[in-house]
Amino acid sequence: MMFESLEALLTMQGHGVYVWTVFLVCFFSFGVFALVPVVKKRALFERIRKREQFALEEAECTQ
Amino acid sequence: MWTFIHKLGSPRWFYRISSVILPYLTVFTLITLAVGSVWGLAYAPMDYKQGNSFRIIYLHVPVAFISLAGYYLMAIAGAVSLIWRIKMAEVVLKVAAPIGALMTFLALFSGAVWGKPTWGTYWVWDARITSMVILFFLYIGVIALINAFERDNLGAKSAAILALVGTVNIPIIYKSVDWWFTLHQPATLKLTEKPSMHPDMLWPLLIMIAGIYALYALLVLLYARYEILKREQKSNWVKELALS
Repeated sequence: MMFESLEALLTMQGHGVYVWTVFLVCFFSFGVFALVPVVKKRALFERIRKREQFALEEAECTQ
Repeated sequence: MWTFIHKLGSPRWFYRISSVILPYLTVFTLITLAVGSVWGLAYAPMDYKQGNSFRIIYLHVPVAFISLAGYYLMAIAGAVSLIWRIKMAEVVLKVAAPIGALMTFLALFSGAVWGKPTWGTYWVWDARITSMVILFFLYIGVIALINAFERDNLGAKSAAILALVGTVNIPIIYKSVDWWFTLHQPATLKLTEKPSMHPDMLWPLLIMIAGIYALYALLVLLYARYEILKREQKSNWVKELALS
């Protein structure tokens, strides 16, 4: 490792605030962007399930 | 090969194929980004001129690369959707725009943060940065056009035309550091020249570039799969998937 301690890795001789900010913002954005379609897909499947259930119940009532 | 590409034009086939690729791509993305980040942050040597702030390169260069490559992908998808009216091309055009906008924003953001310790300022209106801002607004324009129409295909058509016109900006971005005198340093990696970086600095950068390209592919697949499900939600195969 290029740094003698964890503190040295975090501070990076005064440049840590710039480097870590970029890494945190980028990885946070990647995480959020990756999660959005997963959450939306679950919600869509839930809507389809409810719609199908409703259609099934309605068909049973009319019979 | 052509049969495979032709089949990818079918949303259902695309969904099936992408289900196979997705787990491998996720693992590859996570490993490359983890290895590249740890190597770049902790094990790569410090730059003699810029000090440790140079480590921002491990995200700045890959996201900048993908913001340009992603624009080409979006424009090609736009052209395919205009010429052959393939549904999947429309889907790719739609999902590539916000991901490309994110990558361009991150390239601008990381560049601005890197600029402070290196140039003494967060922002200068030089040729490279200004042309990247234009790229960001082109992405925003494509997103706005896609959502401006009630009918999906009308929005996609207008967005495809804008995406194609906007490709003029990409070579300008590439060559801006050569054509104008700018604060921005010349390209770190060129296909035609041997890299000037030390291999200890270069390897983590190459790994991060591979990781960000894989992440981009992963995001495009995830968003495209959701878009397919949304568009085909009344079809039997989507209903079966939801109910299974």
